[in-house]
Amino acid sequence: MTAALAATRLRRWGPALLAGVALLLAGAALLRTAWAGEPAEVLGSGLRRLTEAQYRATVADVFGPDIEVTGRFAPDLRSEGLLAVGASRVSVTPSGMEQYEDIARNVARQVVDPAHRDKLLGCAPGGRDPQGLQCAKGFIARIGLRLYRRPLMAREVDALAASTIASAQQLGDFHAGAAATLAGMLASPEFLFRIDAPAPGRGEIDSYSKASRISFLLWNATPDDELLAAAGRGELDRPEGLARQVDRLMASPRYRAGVRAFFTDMLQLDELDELSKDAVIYPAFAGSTAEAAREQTLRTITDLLVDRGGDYRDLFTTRRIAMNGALGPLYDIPVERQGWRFHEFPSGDPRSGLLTQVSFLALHAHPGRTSPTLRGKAIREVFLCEKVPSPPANVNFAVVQDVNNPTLRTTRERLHAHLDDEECASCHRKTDPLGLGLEQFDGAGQFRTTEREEPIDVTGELDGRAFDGAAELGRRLHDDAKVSACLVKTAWRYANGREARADDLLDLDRLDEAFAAAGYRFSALMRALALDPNSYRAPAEVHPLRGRS
Amino acid sequence: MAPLHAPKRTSPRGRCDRGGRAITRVGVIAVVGACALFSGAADAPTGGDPTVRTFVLSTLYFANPEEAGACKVYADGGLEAFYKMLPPAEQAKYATPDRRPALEAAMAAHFGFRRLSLQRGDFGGRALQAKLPPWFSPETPRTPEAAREIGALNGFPKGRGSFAYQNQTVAYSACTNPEDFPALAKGFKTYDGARAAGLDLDGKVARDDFVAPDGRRGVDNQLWRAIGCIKIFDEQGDAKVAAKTLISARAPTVIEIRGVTDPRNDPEVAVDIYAAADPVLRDARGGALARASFAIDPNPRLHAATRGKIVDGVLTTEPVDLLLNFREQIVDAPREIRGARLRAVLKPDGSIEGTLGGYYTLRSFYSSVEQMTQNGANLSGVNCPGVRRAIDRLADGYPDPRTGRYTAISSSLSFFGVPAFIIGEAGGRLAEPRS
Amino acid sequence: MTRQTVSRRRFMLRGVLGGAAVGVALPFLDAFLDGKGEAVAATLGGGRLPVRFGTWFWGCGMIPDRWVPKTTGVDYDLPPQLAPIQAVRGHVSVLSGFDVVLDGKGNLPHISGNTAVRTGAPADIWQDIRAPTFDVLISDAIGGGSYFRCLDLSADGDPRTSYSFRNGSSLNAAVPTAAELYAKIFGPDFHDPNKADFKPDPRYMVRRSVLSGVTERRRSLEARLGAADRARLDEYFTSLRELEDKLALQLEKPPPAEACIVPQAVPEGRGDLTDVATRKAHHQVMARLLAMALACNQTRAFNLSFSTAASDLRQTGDTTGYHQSTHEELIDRKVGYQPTVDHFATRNMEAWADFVGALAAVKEGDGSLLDNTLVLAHSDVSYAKNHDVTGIPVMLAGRAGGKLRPGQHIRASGEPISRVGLTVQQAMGLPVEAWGVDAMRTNRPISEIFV
Repeated sequence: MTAALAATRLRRWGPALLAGVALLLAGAALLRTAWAGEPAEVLGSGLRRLTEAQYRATVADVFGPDIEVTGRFAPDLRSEGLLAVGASRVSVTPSGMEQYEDIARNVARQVVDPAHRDKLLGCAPGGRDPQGLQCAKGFIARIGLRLYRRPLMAREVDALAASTIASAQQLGDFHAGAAATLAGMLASPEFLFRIDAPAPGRGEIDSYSKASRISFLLWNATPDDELLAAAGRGELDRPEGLARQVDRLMASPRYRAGVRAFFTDMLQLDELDELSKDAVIYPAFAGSTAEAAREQTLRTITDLLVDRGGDYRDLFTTRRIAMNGALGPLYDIPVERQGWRFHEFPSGDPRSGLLTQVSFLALHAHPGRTSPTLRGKAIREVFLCEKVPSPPANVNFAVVQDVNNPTLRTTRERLHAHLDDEECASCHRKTDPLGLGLEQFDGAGQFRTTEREEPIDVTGELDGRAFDGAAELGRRLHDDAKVSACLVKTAWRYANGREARADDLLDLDRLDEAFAAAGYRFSALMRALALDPNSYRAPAEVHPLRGRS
Repeated sequence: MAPLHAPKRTSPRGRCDRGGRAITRVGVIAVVGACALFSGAADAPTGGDPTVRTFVLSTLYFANPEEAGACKVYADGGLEAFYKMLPPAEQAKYATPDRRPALEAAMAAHFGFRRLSLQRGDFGGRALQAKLPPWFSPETPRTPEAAREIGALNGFPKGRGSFAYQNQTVAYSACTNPEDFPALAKGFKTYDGARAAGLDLDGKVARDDFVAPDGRRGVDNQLWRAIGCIKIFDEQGDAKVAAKTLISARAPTVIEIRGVTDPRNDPEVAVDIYAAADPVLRDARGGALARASFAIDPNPRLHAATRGKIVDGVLTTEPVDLLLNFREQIVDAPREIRGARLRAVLKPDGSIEGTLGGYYTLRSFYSSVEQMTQNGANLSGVNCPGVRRAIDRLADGYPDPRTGRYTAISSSLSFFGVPAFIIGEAGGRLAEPRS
Repeated sequence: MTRQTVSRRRFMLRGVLGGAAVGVALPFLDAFLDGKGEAVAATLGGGRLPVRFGTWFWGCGMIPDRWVPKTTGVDYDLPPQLAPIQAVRGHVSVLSGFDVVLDGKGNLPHISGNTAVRTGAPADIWQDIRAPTFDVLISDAIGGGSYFRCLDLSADGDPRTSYSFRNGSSLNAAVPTAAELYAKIFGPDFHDPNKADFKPDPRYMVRRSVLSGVTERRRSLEARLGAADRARLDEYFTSLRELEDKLALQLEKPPPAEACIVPQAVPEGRGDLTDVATRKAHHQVMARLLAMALACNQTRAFNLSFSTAASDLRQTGDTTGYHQSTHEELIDRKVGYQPTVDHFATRNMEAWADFVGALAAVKEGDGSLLDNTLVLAHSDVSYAKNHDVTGIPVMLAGRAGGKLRPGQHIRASGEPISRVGLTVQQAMGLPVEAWGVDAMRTNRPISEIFV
């Protein structure tokens, strides 16, 4: 193909091409105006990519904890504050595919190695099965049920088994052939994505899809053998059967992992993995601190909400907090060096509630200083479900004075400039007063009462109600009805993997009322979500060119 | 759902009953408040007990009163002293630095040094296949008698032989037996400046007392006179260097000050000095991690209690006998310091900086020198016979009632410390402290 | 160079259809490929040596008064922030005065600028970005002949620092460390193009046939999904197909690459990558590895981000980093600019000079690797203090196999920056006449840079 020929073709076809494209563009513009006001893409949640944590948990459950999962996973996407919602938006990029295949081959290699093959394959070619075809079929059917979270059809098993034998012949080794097939299954979309299958004629998803839903909600893991068997017997399609399984899952120690996964997502604790602080300014914030802070918050939460069946709202006022040796220096208290214990701060102590924990304070701050704006924004978005818009781009920051200005010694004074400009104030009024209430905790979460020898003023107000300091702010959140409603909405979005639509609002209201009636016990909410029949409706087919069907 | 273990209470230090004895005045309300914080189910508040200030010492060092290099001519190390004893023709053979190992070997040969490895296999140097007595095993206690017996079996000079190098060898050298090598001690240069760091220990201003860098007179620090012109002490005595160095981090010292109602002025506080059972940890900057928690070594010999007062932010204490852990590389030589006093500043950032003055027993000080081994002394420029003779000559404290000879020498150690917490039930507190 | 089969790539003009994320293949564009589906670009420049394309990104722009040269044409002057490129100025063209035209849309800080530069269309919200970035379009066209269609890299240790995507939820994650880059390129799957003996490895055949078995499930899966989810599944299968093609390539003897020298293994690094000195050192290692990956024909397309758009660069011990300084540092009255910001802006240009130098250092053919490459460097804003997306700094480096004349300063007066995107696509042989959406749509390439 020479450039000249290309040019000729362009000249001949170019105008037609342009006209065609123009037509398409015009059509698109029309469509766009017809749908103005609607979200451009109607999100389903019938195709959800496994998160890295779920992938790892599945491999451990199916093949045992000593199988190593090594490799770099494509980053999970946080959408509207939740990775669970992002899972419904992402697909797999080319480099992501490459990585999944790599990880899959590594896992498969270990599964068939001499140390594991007896336990995990349990058979080999020989005797009446000289090529190993029967062995392969058995292995594929058994593993396929766990990996695809549904039973494989006979022809699927046959095709995969045939492929195993073919690969074995090419590689000269049955186990290598089995590993190749297994790697393919681990790279398949039916493993990587949780796909909802409709139950024909019933207007809801099938029982294996339900099993997936409740298992990932309550354990953040793939359905176990018992749950799959119950699905196979049709028990999940009857309310009592579903309830029995839900109660079994919630009574298991694995339920705590599910609760931890939810709060990790809601509080964005996964971002602690990447958090670093300036070593000179916060020398007590060492390598293991971020991880310890994350673990601290999760242990505190499971202790209150799972072990003690407590009131969710008490998270904002609790003085009982998990503590270990790495965190003692930051909290300025004596702690044994080894292991975890619970520390109860005395009444009146500045530490009380989630907002005074290092995982919250250090995450929403800069490497070398605090950020009341970031902390206030986090409170609004995470705990009150209020969206704070992004700053306008043509902001004139000249009014914000520099850190070394001798007349503006404290952060509060510097941020006050935000409130002088009406354009800035409209958003900053929502965030800064909240964050400034936490200003006695520095960028690493350490407590101090003065900043540059000035006492720190921690008064503020939350939607008209005044507070003085972090403990009181915690009490305001405890008493605010929006906080519990926001938790319900967040948990709902987490369970369903999508944003709420107009026809979901009734459901949310109902769940809200039930949550309050149950004394705001988190487990009651989880149970209600797992049993909510609305979650199991088959997704309506939405086609933009024909309207809702 | 498996319940968690029942929550244990951390045992807060500075319990109200203990702190109470020091409080007589206005501070009562603060103490009562502190007690209230401890009542009920609560553990320590943020910041711990406000009437208790605890510190872990990151470094303890002999402070140089001047800039490094003020001692114009350094004292010769043992190796240099030997070199100077050689005729010029011999000296020429060892003139360059690469000839140093040969010089060390020559010195060892000349003086008949011995170093006998007790391990299987040779670890270099002049180790020979050791002849060991039949009763000897790795568990045999390392007594001086045992060392001499092994020495006798292996041709050591009569009555000589000492365990060295963390009990992995039996040695005979100018460091194990400095008294045998007077020639090396000859001409050992001591410090003759007018200033030294330290405290007035005997309440007198005598002729051989020093003047402190801040002008105080009557400072008793004969140990500095003995070692102040040795190069490594001169260099390591620089406060800026010491502030960044961790000394004895594996076995640090903890100081707890209780009954503090006003950190600027308090007429009576209780001061306890402990050995920590946990090491000092490093922070992200490489310095000592502040506000870490330490368990205490229960050995009562390592615990001392005394009283003190704070005036304008400076703490001073009554004298008390101390035994402080000192473990650094191959040296494990606890410091026995008699009649020790503290003088320290409690800084606004929560750290402490100060001086510990007292009479360092000759035996425990020399042990730290001897444990360097001849090899280590050569590397550090230390002249063991010179040091031994100097401290014997300059000793000025605690005469032996039988012989009349002084057993300790006035000294001063400076220190830096960061805030810390004490945890656990095991503390010298439960045993009778030495006072 | 032996011909490599290229899978037909149907150009999915998703973004053009706005409302629905339904991909539409325009089969008539295949007319611009020859019968075997070999992309035009592969033979650009006349011959043996492939022409490579890449982008280099840095965050927080520059200070216009101290960056934009005063003179135009060749032998342009080097203001203080551009001074670091002195040694490589002959390879580098500077383009100034090209704007992102927001046309009423909001300016999302550190998002609108870079996405508009790359997609030719500003977007109000992240989810609205549907068009692929031009580097994806280019690598789709030219990347088929090498093991990796494209290499996405970031020097800051974060795989999310990437400005290459097919749509708003399909970011091409970056390889974030030098050690990983080494393992990816020169690890166990590396085929040394200059090794004498070659035997196709049956393991690649097996892997390929296993993956094609996965593809066979496509129909039945698609049947039960809604439109939006179908499109996502589509993307999965496109990626799968690309992997199959890569494996097919491994079954063929690679063409010799004269400039290829396998470098030493790179160990895991330590240190704080937000510190600017550490970042620069790490970046330099990555640049050299990338240069050798290009010379060894492991890829023909790349994207390297030196820092993220809201640049996280700092100096250890400073409470305020680069990004915060751009907003909060006062202009020093004595010198007339923000000193800390100036410091970091200059460091960025030093890193750019390192990068150009790394490519120029590899001898290839009659010249250097850089002569057979086109690199587009840009930032997300011009003056970061105001998130100004007018006059976003752009630089080009390399001759693209002789097609371009480097070393000029071309100043536009407020023209849409999509002209730059259009120009580089045309330089790489893409059959595109016009590019961009709405107010940023243009059909005028920057002809001055062509020979």
